[in-house]
Amino acid sequence: MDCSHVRPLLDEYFEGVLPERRETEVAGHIAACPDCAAELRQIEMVAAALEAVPRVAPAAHLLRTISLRAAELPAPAARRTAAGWRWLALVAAVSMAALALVSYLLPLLVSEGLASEVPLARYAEDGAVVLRSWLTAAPGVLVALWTELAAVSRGCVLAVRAAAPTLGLYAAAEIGILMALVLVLHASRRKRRAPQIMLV
Amino acid sequence: MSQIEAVRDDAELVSLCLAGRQGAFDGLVSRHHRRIYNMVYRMVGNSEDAADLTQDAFLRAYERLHTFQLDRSFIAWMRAIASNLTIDHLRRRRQPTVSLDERLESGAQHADESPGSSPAEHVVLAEDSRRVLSAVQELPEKQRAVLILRHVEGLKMSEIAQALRMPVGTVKTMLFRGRAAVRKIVGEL
Repeated sequence: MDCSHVRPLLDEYFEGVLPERRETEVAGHIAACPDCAAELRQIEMVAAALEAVPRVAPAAHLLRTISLRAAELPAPAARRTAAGWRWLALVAAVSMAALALVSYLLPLLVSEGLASEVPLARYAEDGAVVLRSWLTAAPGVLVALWTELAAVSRGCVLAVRAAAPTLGLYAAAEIGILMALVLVLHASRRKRRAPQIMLV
Repeated sequence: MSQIEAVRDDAELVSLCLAGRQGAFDGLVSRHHRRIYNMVYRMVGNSEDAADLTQDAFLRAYERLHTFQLDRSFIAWMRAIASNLTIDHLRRRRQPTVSLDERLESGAQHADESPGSSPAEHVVLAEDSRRVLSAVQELPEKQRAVLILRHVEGLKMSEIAQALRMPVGTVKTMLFRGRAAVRKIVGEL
């Protein structure tokens, strides 16, 4: 090995992460090459200088300040419950929003020919078939489930038979709502400082 | 000796804290705040920001204590929180930090932890260490964090990768580039 091959390996050699054979080759070269040995010494010096930095002490009041600030916050165990409720609220909000959107969109989809009305009796008879085709075609079970729920909430006369554009629309709306809520939640958590707004 | 003081295990303190014992959290802070402060101080280069970030890190940990896995290392968890907070802080600031030399020369609020050291000893760093540490302050924030975690905290590259949530290969690249940049800034040691 010559210097041009060894130089790029010196950091890895110093860290001891080279394969054994390569490490032996580099060690052999360093032993015979003062320039590469000096280069390695520089790496060692940087590491040693950082390792030798003495520790500094924080201001005496830091411990007390942290303790007082923590005492103002809700206890972590209590927050565990609050966090659980927050997620439940989020799921409920997303579900409600998705249901509302689907209920609103279904008549439009029917009028545009992307979905069709199915009489209740027929839905009941063919429901399994309709649902199975949804489960096959839809990206997830929840899409079909929400569609079915929406149909029930609207008096049980609608089911959706279609079609990639319809699925895409639902999925995009649901993902959009979900992302918006997550972003709002995330932003509110970042801004939250005062203890009184930490509990949901 | 109080019950909290008698507890030797961080996981036990976390459990006590989750059970409603505020004093247990104070015990965790008391054990680890100096170490976290030191790590942050190396990264930001001034005591005010270091104290604020140390405080923020512990409060963040308190808020998320229920997510801490009791079989993991608490100090490693704290390091990850503090280093990521500090990187975010440095990224937001995006300007050169106050010179560490200046701070050390002023001598304010810094003291070697070793008992019995004189006021003069408090602010005296080995010349090489001081030059290298000043050079580290000029590095991009993540490179800076990687160097501090590797050489001041003594973490392995895999541990740094876990703390900073980046691949080990990226840590390796940042470490090597960071050291090369420091050597270039400092010149011959």
